[in-house]
Amino acid sequence: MKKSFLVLVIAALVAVTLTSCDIVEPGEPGLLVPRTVDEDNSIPSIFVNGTQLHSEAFGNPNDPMLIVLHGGPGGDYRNLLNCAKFSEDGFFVVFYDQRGSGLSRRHNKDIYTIQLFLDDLHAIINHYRQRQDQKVFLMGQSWGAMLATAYVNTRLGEVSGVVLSEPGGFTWTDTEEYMKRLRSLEVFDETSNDFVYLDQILTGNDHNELDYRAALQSAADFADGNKVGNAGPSPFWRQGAVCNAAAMEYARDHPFDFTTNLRQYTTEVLFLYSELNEAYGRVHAELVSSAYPNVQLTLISGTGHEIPYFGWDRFYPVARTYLNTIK
Amino acid sequence: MKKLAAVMILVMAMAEAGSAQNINWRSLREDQRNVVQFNFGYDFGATAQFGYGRSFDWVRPVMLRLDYSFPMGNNVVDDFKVRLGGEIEIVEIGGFSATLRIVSNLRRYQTELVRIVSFGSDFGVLAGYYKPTWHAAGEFGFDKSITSHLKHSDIMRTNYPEIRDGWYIPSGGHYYYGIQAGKSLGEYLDLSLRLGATNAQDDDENAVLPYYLQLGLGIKF
Repeated sequence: MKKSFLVLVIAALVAVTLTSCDIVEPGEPGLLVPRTVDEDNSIPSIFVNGTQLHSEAFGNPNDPMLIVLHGGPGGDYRNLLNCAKFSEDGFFVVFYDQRGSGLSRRHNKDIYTIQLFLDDLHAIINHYRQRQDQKVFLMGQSWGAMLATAYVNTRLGEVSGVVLSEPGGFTWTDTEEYMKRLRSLEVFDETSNDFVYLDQILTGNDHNELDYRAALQSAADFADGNKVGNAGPSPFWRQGAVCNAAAMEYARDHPFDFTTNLRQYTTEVLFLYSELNEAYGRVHAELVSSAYPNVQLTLISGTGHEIPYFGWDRFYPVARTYLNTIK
Repeated sequence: MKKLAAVMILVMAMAEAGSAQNINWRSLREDQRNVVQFNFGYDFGATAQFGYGRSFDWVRPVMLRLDYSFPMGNNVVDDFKVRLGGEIEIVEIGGFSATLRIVSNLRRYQTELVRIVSFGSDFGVLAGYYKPTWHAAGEFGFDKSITSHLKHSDIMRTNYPEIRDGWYIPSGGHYYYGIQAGKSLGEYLDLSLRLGATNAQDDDENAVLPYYLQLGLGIKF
């Protein structure tokens, strides 16, 4: 009897505490993840290819264009903003959060295809291009480097050079192998268990809830002992969970090969891999980069997978030298 | 919304019932009212679980339990689940038996980005065939994380300064369904196995690994 009374008192105290606080729904916009361009018109954006994308550009619009492509799918360009410095080297630097990613407008799962990402990129180029003979360079990080290569493969004559940082692969087979090394769950590992333990507390089908959960699970990318070699967290706006899941599902159902025409692309390509990413390494870098006939394969020391962010001091001079030689 | 949360917390606490462990009602003797349980397996992570239960006869056989589980890792105190509740055998016909499980649970989860404290409940039904030295049963239940308090780290605040700490409701839930079986070893020990699958509520996205597997050792005294 005494025990039951005690339990009731404790429960009542908890209830009173809760009622004295604001209790809100996790799907409410702006509470747990930032609003997107269609929810906040103060965010710089452009309308292309039937969507609204978060986008910024730096430098003289008449200079050779350098399009920066972020990772993911579902990441954003926040941790690539250092690359705006290339505008001081005579490039018109363009950033955009890919469809459904970062601060760009969200879309439902069923619209995503690789062709759609390529069409968006083409629309971005056309949006910012000042004249038809303006050179276009692509700079991609991880998935962004894959997207850059897919674009080169389909539009051989339209890209004047590419800087690629650790693309997972240019075929689904190579990409899948890399991801297996990257994401293997280990039974006694804190990071692995943190990643899956959250699933019992937060579930959801709302974009805000899923993006928030993805943001929390991104702690695995910089946790102690992370395989990709990141020294710490890198900034992001929003993890596009639906975009990521949809793109992965699409790739599994429609295995891609971005290498079918690459042997005809004879322009030198700068291909970078990091010293600290245990899942990548020189062997995988040689395998993936071999699809291009003319490659400058370069190790960026002292950094992990997020090369342009954590390895900026080493990345920048290498990339600048490459770009200046083909500008 | 606030009133709903308060009522749910009260209901959970008043339920004061069971936990997801394997009981063979037929193997419990009159002089063995206490059970200490050790489990290991996969339950949203590789987890270890320790529990204590005591059985009573209140019209029907009842076992009240308290257990604590935690996932493996370098830090075994930052994430955990405490469950308080019980199981009551509601039907017994020959060797067949059906049991109702009612549990309130408290979960804690912490990473470099967030600390979450979550209150929830677990309602389940078990039905199967029970003999004094073994049992096999099926189970079905719903584990709900009713409300969660989120406290974000400086890293999250740097990324998104407007991010809001506080209580959020609802936060999550999943159905679980599977089988369990047990075998008594002598007078004092029970070995048990639970395995099954989970399915997130409504149209929510499923867990990365939507399964559970638990091996257990119970000591009766």
